[in-house]
Amino acid sequence: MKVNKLQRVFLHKVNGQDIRLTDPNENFTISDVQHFYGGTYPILTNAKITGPEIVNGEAQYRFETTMGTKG
Amino acid sequence: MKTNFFEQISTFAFEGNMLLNIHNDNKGQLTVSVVLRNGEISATAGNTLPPMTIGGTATELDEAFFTELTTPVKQTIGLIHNLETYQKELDKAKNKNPQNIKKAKAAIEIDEDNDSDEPDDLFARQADDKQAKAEKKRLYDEAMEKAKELAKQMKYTEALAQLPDPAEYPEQAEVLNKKRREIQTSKETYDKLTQQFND
Repeated sequence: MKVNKLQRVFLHKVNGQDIRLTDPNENFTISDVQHFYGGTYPILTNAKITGPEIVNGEAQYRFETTMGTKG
Repeated sequence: MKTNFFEQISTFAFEGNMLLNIHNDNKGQLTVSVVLRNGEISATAGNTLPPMTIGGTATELDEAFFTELTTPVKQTIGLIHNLETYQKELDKAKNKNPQNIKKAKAAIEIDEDNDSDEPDDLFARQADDKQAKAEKKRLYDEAMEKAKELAKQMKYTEALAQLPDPAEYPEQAEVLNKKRREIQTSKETYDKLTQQFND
């Protein structure tokens, strides 16, 4: 028997396009990941995390933000 | 203490920003993400490049960080360059082609008002161009033929979709509008009948 650990993948939308962020480190908690990528994508610091949703053998987490929809 | 970290980075010869994010956990494992950004690019594709992540102990990273990174960074720079050139060319083409501007203008007017009574001068230039006109006529005839055929087969929705846009053919607008109404009436009758039949 072979046991595969589910890969985590983090999705984040910019201008309507999904950006796939790979798992930086298996030992990171979800909020660690959020902080880690927050440096690159400041909008993430305020995001809500939904998931995991299991699609194609990977656990997809979604960063959802309502920023930038005003007006 | 002297390091050559920045010298190494400068060998990448990139333009714009390199965002480095370094995370250290209590076991001495470092996780680093690297992403290149160029503010010049307004194409969304340029900003959706995901970061590269590299993990390892400090010693491992000291040894392998730059060798690992050289290829992906070079590829990324190439891609960014391509995007930049592409975008410039795209802008140039947009500005050069008056037909595009006219089309865009016409499209806006049509959105507001579907009666297609916009002034003829929008199409004056196209009228000069015999070849374009002939081609347009051919397309028009083809589309009309298809629409008629589809209407005969009682595929009214498809027929409506096939019908040329009156906005593109101002001269035939009246014919087109009439045809559209015709098909629509047939469609309604057909829908009603199907409804009754299903009941």
